Amino acid sequence: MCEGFHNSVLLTLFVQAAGLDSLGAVELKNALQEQLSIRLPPTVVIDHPTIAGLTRFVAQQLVPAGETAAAASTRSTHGIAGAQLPIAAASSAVVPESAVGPVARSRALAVLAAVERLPSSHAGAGTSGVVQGVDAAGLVPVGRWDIESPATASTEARWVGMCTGGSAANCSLVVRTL
Amino acid sequence: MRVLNWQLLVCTALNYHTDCHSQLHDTWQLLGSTIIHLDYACLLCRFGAFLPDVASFDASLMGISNAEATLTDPQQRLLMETTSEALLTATPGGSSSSTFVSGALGTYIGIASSDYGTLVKAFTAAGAFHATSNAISVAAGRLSYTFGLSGPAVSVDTACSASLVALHIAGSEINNNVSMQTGSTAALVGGVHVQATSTSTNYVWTAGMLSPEGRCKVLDASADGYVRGEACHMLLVASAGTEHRGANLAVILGSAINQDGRSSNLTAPNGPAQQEVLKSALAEAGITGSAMDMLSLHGTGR
Repeated sequence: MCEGFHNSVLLTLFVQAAGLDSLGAVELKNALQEQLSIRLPPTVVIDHPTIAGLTRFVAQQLVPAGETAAAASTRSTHGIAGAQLPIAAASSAVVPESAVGPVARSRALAVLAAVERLPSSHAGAGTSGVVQGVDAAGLVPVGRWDIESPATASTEARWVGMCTGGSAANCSLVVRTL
Repeated sequence: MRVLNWQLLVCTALNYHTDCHSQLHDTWQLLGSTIIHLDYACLLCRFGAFLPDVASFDASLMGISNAEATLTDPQQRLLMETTSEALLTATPGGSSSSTFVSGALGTYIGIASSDYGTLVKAFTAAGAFHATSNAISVAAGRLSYTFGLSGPAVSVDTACSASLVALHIAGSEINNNVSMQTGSTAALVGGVHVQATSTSTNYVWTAGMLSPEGRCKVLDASADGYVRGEACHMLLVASAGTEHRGANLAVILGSAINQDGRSSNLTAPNGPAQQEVLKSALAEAGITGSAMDMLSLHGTGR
């Protein structure tokens, strides 16, 4: 999981963070234009400052007449990014309406992701916990608060390092304190 | 010390038997009357909903040193973890495996406390990271820095309503930007609460707000207080009027916020004000009350 995240982080890494300065941006644009035989706007690296975004934009420029953008992007990104990237290119196909019907009001917000951390050892005990009657409340776990000292200023902080699960080579030291 | 050890023994022996809660309460009261030097209130508020293993954190994955991570509020660490997961799992436009480009995302975080700072202050000397490691403002700002987000980074503190207020503010800013055709039209919206020390719980218990039974019985005649809980949530939202259509997880039709104004006391709710905000939210969403299938409430004490 750590490895997959690193790859994804690379894709969203700003090229400036990777060390590309303004001169390098011009050189990158020129190299892309030359190698792909396309014209790119001079601010292309500024407008699309991540590897994924730049790839997607360049892929769109490569669509020849009669070919779908999706096929072009898959074909082109394989070489540029060095890996299979199923990027959703902007195609001319009709975007299907959502299952709940068309969103009429433009002031509505679409929820694209939802992540939660909840106080129960049962995975997904949030709303399903309500249905299943899982009790999230209980006594304070022993060791969470030092019950022998009423003033929390005298609570000792415990420093323990451990490695998380998964590949030990990829996961870094986990710092724990309480 | 003998008295304290017995308390630990009683606590451990009773364990999690829910029918012993009232007995536990009486036991603490009896002990409290014989203890003259200790603040026994901290031993009474023994209930809550706690996140398992809230302290563990993979520092290098987020690009910070172990030293800074140890000083950093566990709330900030949780926000980083959930933000990275939200960005990785986002599915714009219904596509299942595209990488969401962060870029101009706003960050609106509901956060109201930072107990961990008292531990840091008690056990470490001032260093380079102390100014930011437990600051409420940094809860949002650190996410913008870590993930390269250039939209507004706002930490919202309106106590228990903070994350919903953060969502409303994010929606207002997004819709304003859509109208003006400038600025970010997507945002991370989240909330977090970790009880790193017992201090806040002590205060709320002393104010009579917590349930001695460790149960929140809102709207019931037997309601006697609430229970403090820990959690962290993170949503990635975007204007539904733009290209983000398709198989979204949900659509937020509208929201509204207001204040009670003058009620019976500082923390008491005001019924008419709550009715008004519900009506405002329904009007904003363009639906009537009869169209709702489910109502989810914040668990207050009464």
